[in-house]
Amino acid sequence: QIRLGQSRYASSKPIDILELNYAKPQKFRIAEIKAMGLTTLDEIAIISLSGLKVDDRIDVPGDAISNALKKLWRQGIIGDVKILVTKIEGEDIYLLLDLTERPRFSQVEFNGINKTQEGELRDKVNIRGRVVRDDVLNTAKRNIEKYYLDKGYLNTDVKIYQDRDTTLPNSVKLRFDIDINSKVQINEVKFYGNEEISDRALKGKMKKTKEHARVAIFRDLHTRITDADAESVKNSIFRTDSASKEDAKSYISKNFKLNFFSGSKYIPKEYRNDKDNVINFYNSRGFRDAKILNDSVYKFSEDKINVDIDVQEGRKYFYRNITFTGNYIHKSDVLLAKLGIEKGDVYDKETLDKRLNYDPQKGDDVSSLYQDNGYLFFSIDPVEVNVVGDSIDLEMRIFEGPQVTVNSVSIKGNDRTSDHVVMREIRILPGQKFNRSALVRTIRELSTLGYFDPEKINPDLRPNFEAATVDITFELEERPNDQIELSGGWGGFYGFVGTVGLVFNNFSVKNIGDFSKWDPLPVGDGQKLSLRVQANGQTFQNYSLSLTEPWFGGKKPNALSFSFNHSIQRQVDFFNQANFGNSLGFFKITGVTLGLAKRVTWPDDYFSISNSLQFQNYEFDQFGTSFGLSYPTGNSKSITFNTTVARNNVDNTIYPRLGSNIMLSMALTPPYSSMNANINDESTDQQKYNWLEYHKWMFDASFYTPLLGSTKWVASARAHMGFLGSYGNKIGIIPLERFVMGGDGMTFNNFALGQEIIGLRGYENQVITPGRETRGTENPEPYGGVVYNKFVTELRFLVSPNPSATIFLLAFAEAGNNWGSYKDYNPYDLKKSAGLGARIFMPAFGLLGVDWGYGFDTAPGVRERSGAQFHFTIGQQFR
Amino acid sequence: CGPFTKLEKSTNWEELYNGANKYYQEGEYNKAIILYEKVLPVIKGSEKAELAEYNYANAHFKIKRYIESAGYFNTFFRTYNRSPLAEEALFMHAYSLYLDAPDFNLDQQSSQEAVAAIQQFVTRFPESASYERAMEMLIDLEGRFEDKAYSEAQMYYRLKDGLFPGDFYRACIVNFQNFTKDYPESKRNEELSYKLVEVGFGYARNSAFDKKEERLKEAISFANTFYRKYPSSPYLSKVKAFEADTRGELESHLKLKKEYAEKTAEAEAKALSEAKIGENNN
Repeated sequence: QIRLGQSRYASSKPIDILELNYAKPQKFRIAEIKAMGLTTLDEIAIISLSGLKVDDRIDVPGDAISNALKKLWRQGIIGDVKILVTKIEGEDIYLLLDLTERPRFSQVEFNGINKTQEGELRDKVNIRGRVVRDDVLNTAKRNIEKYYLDKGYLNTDVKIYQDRDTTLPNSVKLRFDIDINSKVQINEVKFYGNEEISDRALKGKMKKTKEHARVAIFRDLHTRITDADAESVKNSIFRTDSASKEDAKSYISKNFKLNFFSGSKYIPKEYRNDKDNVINFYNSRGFRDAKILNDSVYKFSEDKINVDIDVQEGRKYFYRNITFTGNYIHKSDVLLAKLGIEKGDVYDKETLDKRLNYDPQKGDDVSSLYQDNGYLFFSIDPVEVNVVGDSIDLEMRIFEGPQVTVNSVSIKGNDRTSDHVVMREIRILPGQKFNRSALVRTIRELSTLGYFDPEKINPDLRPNFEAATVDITFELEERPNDQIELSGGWGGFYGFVGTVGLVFNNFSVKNIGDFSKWDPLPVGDGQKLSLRVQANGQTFQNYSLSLTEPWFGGKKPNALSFSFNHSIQRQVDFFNQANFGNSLGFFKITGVTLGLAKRVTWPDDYFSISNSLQFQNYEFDQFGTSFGLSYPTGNSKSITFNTTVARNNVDNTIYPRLGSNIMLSMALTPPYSSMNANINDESTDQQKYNWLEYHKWMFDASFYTPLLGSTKWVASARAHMGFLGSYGNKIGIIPLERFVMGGDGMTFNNFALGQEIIGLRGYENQVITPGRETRGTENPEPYGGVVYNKFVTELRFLVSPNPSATIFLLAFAEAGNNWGSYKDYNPYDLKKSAGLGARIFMPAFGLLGVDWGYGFDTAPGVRERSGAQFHFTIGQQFR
Repeated sequence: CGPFTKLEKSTNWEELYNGANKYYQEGEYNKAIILYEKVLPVIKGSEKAELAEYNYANAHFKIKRYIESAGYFNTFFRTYNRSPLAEEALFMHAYSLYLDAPDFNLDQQSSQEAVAAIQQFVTRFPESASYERAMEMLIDLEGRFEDKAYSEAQMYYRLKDGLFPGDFYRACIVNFQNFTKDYPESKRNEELSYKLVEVGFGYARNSAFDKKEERLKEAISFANTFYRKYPSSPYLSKVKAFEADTRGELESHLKLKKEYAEKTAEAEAKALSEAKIGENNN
């Protein structure tokens, strides 16, 4: 017998070892394969699993045998295996698989944990069908403990029970009894040896290892009073020496822990990171040699631990001389100026690294000088050439390398979105000199598309030093980007209003016919489809649909959009029992719009122009008089051409700090009255307004500027005005599409169909509207103004910049008015108000706001001054 | 509860195994998969395992879960590479990947995996009855890579009329040349070579003064390459027109350059003589 391969367990069988020539393997033909030692497993199946077959020609010794052993082992179903040679006859070899079977796990059960955790653990502890061995069990146990350790449970108890499985030969049922015990919290983190930097600052640098939340001041007072004798009570109450500021701070930091949101968990991996954070913080303050001498984690109570950290600060260092070597393209003084570090500055490794390699805040650092101009291989290595006392001399060793040209640009990971939708946003192109800023800009553009996980956008650079070229691949990961809006709210007079909206941001019209591309709707071409229904029973309903192609024609980002809108407003009799719920009339608007929005590069690239053509049908039934029309039932139509020129360079849409947003728009209808000779002063309203004729101009400007160089305080000024006119005196200004002013300015709350809603805080909704007093009477005036002006100043303070909940407060003073004719127009006669408000932005809900305003003036037709008013808003208010 | 739910809860593996086979035969693949999943770890190493594992992979294939079926067919092939089903399994592995491979305008990583799998199949089983079919799949997939590169070229060509013309003209030149390098056999090379002359001229014409000459000459060289490669192309007249325009532009540019050089020389001479006069006067 020749034993080949290796066994994991020493064999007890006596073996005759024959000499095998390892240096010169010999070819054999397999004449026979047999297996021994099997009780439940099948011989043919095992031989088949080994991959060996009679008549195979194999080398002995050689790969075939070792591969067969590997394959059998990998199945995890046998206890041990050896391959024996029983006979050799000339070229023929006889093999015997000597197997040892072991019981296998037929079932695995978890006790003492919930279903979710069980599901996750089943994936981590996947040992069903494998042989029973101690190492398999131990690994399983360790995996379970580690799973809970990562969740902050340090005292997880795992007990293992094995039982014979009677339904299956040679198999074992396995049960894990898990007792996760309570989560372990950190009672206190103590620092020793820190003199230059306070405990508080150091604890702040520990991002995940936090002390548990508590407000223990009452308990503390209680223990002080109950534990203390009369003398010390007297001392502490009539304490003569005043408490220092430091005393107060330390008292507060001990008894108030307001980290309710961050939670307190001890997770060893995070703790190691946090220790590094502490050292990095020291390094950034010039303590180059700071280190943690010792640290210990020990039990404080059943479910709490203490952490002690012993630091050695070392001395504080400063920069002395900084020199550059290896730079041929840029002079040393240029590089030094870019570096922005001067002799005598605190030696801060972190900032140095940023200023040399990549500064995410400013984007211009020493590397950018080179890497924005093709020098991709540029590297700079700061070497401490001399350390004298607390001064350090640095030599910057530079490698400039060749100027690299981009050869190809590609993308990877777009499983849903078509190539061209992504590629057209890329700002770094073949043939260009490599440019790091363009690369960073591209990453930003790709993340604003919204189709990809911004955290995972990764440019993979494959440079070729010889050819001085680089291939760039942007690695992407798709993420769902569709939005569903389901909301309900109180809409003023109309009561409860429900909204259902769906927005598909990556729609594809082209793929509608191809069902394999539906997920759940056809995707991939970057078009936007939105559907929205808003209703409250009978009184108000709005249906809208819009479709936008952002790159119409494929050459420029010209957005072509089509939209359809249908709204109904009904007057329902809620007060008369006899015809309760019957409609007393309605007003319907149905409109279709086709628009094209262009980004232009002149006068500068913040400008955009959009044009649209709109058809609207207005239908009213016993409703006309509320607009001041002389006929209650009828119909009007309009075709308008709209142009908007806008310039927007605000730095942030949610909390703008800098920049302005200016918009001028114009809407024109054809001059029907001059085309139709039948219309004259004698014509009825229905004849005059069969096709609406008007021109409307709107101007909106907002300016933002930070105050005192702060990122939190911002002043903003806004001006809004609108003018509605007619082409001649033949028919006058139409009673529709007029301005309605006052209150929160939300379409949602006003349901003023066929009108332009302008908010004015400190006054009730729609209260500053000419014709309001005669509305619903025998001889109504047209409802709504033809000119409006509004001016706003705001002081804003950012409370929380957190992108998942941005919160800011504001104080405002505003003034505006709304006039029924140009004769009355007087821009000095404005209704004024002032007040305070707050806004919160959450991605799922949009912008929510509340304002309290005080109106100093009286609204027309109201006797007393407007006074205090509350306003709630949802969404961005533009006017 | 129904017979399936009852069976699903059973711990008797023989019952499970027979049930799985029954559902598989009846075409109830989802149910078969659930039962096979329960029974496979237990029957591993028995004679029943081989067919069960094949059926398990094939059940995934039947319900169009190609990523999974590709994986299971591959595992089957690696485990039972001497089985009579091995050839079929390796083909099905490749075929699953092929069916899963997306359109040319999406990421082609899975297409590349499919190509590798097909190549593995045709090398391993060159005598296979499915050989022809595999080669057809291979040609189809390689066509997709070419389509992708071509649509990228077309995109750059379109965007040259967009917001940043200069950058995209240059991108076209580099990209078209790369296409020819990567797909020398492609029929689309004729069209792209013609477009290369067009973008070469467009790029040169809008270039800065001191870069113009070199780029115009480059455009002419693109035209010359075109004549050599496609002497009887339908694009010939258009290329000739571009070349004529380029030569015209080059001529006027050289004239301008000469005039400019003369003027500067004159001005320099004048300045020099004035300086001399000044010196002499002093």
